[in-house]
Amino acid sequence: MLELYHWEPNLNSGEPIIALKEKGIDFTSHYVDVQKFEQHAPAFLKLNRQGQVPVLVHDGKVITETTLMLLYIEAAFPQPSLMPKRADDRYLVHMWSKYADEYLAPAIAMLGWHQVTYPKIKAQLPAARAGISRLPPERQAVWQLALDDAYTNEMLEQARSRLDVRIKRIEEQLAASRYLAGDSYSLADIMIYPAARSFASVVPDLVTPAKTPRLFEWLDKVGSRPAVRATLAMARTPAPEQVFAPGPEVPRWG
Amino acid sequence: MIDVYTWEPNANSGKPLLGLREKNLAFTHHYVDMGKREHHAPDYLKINPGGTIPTVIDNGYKMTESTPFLEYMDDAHDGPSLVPSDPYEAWRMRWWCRYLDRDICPALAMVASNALAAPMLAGQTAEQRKEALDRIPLPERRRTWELLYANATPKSEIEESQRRISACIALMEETLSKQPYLAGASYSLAEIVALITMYGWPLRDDVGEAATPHLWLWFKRCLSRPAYKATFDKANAFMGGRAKDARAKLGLAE
Repeated sequence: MLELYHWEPNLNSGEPIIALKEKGIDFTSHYVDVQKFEQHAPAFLKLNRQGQVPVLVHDGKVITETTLMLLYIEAAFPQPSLMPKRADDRYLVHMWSKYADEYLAPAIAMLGWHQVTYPKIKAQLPAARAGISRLPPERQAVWQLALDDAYTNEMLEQARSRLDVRIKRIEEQLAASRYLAGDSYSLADIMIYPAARSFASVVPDLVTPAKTPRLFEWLDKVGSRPAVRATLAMARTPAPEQVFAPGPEVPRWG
Repeated sequence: MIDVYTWEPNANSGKPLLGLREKNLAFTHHYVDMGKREHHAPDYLKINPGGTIPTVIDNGYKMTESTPFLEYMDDAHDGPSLVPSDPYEAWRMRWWCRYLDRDICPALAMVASNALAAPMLAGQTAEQRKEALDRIPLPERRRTWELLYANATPKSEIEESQRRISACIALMEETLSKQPYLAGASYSLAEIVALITMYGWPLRDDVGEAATPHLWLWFKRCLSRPAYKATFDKANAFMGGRAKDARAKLGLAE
């Protein structure tokens, strides 16, 4: 029995959906509407006390942390393999796993919320305040900042600079190999693709045909895969790459 | 042929030192003196332009992310397996590695560097500080050092770090009351990531035979391993001394 609790097929939630579809594995989909704060409902918090999607439940085992979930899916359902054949390319999968969760996700979530989502849903936010008191302190702090839109210029600038460093790393990698972990498509591409679709909405000046030609080419290539198209077809909003919610915490030190 | 460019067996810089010994792999340790800030000096920046340690070069292949390197090491080389074969235990191992790397090690680093490094750095002139900061390539690292130089880490942030460390001790105690190691039945990469930062924890007031009996037994099991002793026997006086004191407090023979 395989169940996936997810939101729109965007940053984070899109990743396990793509992986499961690439492997042709059936799962029960539970849509959690993050902009209605369903992830803070007591029943969901029993599943993941951090109040974050996606959550995978496999035969009663609860799996969280998006890119680690992808590595679990690969280990539990090895065929067809989404891991590169060479060990040095597999190192890159683990490197992108870290970059996706620790650098891209928090920065995109912060900038996307501040620039795109907050101005649109400001009026609904008082409804969210009750729910955040049920979260552990570190998640409460992330949400408090978001609900008050209290990000300082320094925080926003840091988020941009983190994205700048990693977008350059993506472009550099795609100059060295056809995909992010070698010459064939792998989990690394799935870990980065939903985030990369949002770059144009949050840091349009950092992704341009002149600066990042390979990124655009790769987005088209990955986006044309049937599993990726089927994943995006599950969207309930017209442009899932343009809806944002407060994401993982920004790294605090070093 | 494995070359490790790193400092002491401490936090990220120590992961390959302990990991390679647990895996029984021979390597050359090229000492990068972080105390003299050699990791921000031109010679080292030629090896790793990001200016972070460690850098590991295995047969010409360069890696600069420490936990992904541990995955690579276990995957690419023969030797005792340090990643559980069961998919769920492997996920749990990665969950611990991620939690420690992202939430706990930065909290420990913040507390320790503010207690130890900030007072020492306070004696430097403005020019010395500027020169040192200008040499740090990654913007997020520069920010951390700026706070340290200015002795400006907010008190509330340090308290939050201490709260997280206490929560981690409680979670480890609970986990280890159910299973001998963090991921499950066997010693794994999660132990390497944990121990290289926590080797002095047996000296803490809130860790002990009475307060945290299962954590205490885990420390006994782990710190008596030959790879651990071999790693810390080569450490500098401060870290080697702490490791020795910790072993003595656990009642382990030298």
